[in-house]
Amino acid sequence: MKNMKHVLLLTFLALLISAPAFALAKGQIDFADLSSHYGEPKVEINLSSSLMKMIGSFADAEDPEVGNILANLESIKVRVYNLNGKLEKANSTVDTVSSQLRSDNWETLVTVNDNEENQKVRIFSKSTENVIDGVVVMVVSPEKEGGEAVFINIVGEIDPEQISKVTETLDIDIN
Amino acid sequence: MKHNESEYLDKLFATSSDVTDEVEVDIPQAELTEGLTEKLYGIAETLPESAKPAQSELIAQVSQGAGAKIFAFPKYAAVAASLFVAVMGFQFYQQQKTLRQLEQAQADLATALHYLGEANRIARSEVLGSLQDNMQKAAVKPAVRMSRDALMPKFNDREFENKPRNHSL
Repeated sequence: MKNMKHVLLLTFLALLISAPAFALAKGQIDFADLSSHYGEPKVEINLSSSLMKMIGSFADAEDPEVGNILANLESIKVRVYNLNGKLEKANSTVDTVSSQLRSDNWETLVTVNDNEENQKVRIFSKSTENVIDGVVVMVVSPEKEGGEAVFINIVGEIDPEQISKVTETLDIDIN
Repeated sequence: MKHNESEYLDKLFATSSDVTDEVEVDIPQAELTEGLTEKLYGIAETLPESAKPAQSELIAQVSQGAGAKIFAFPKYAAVAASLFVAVMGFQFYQQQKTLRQLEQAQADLATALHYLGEANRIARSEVLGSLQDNMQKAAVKPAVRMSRDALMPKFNDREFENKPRNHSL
């Protein structure tokens, strides 16, 4: 009985110590489950804070404002999946993730449901004390062949209006 | 005993004076100028040829002694130079690696922002389309109601006028 107590205590301590390793940073979501639905993503991007700072420092020379915007970002994750015509499954996943985000006190910014075209757009943000910690963008679009699902998670302070400023400075052609 | 001592002392002084004479014979007397350097050069110049070390001996002495380090300098220099080149090469490699990482990160950021822009475009067009539809509906509905209300009395009158005819049948 005494041994059992020791084992339980040790297990509890081990869980307590390992908990931060599994915890996600503020504004961050886990995309791990999505691969189990759609297989390997077509596009997978993981930009860490160090890389963001590096890009920011280079952009800083051209435009300090853009450098500041990029330096405030902690990470960017992008997953793009080919749907091969299975848009319904993607739409149900978007709904599931949306309900999870709402239960985690994420704020809905944009909700688009186009039932005719089977298209969905969800944009969520999470903020603490008027500072945005993260943004999640989910798009299911039949525009590309077979359909495409896009999941984006941006962690850090971001103003959607500033995105155009970044794209202009980095000379990125959006279309 | 005293006699012996005095003899010994006389002999000793006599031999020591001989030695002094011999030395004086070996070192030539030279008229030296006043400066220390001049005096030193003067001693060297006054030495007989046999007493001067040969040029080859000098080189041998230099190569075996402290000068050996000077002659070994090219070896150290070669090692230092190769080390320097290696360090510079490593730095260059690191710089290139960082540049490649930066280029890749910029390309990734561009892709991420492209998809973000796409999401924004779809959302905007959908919201604008929805707004236009609602505005059209909001404008058309009152117009239909108004025209219906305006036409209703005439329609009722016609219905009233027709009734007696039906009745006659």
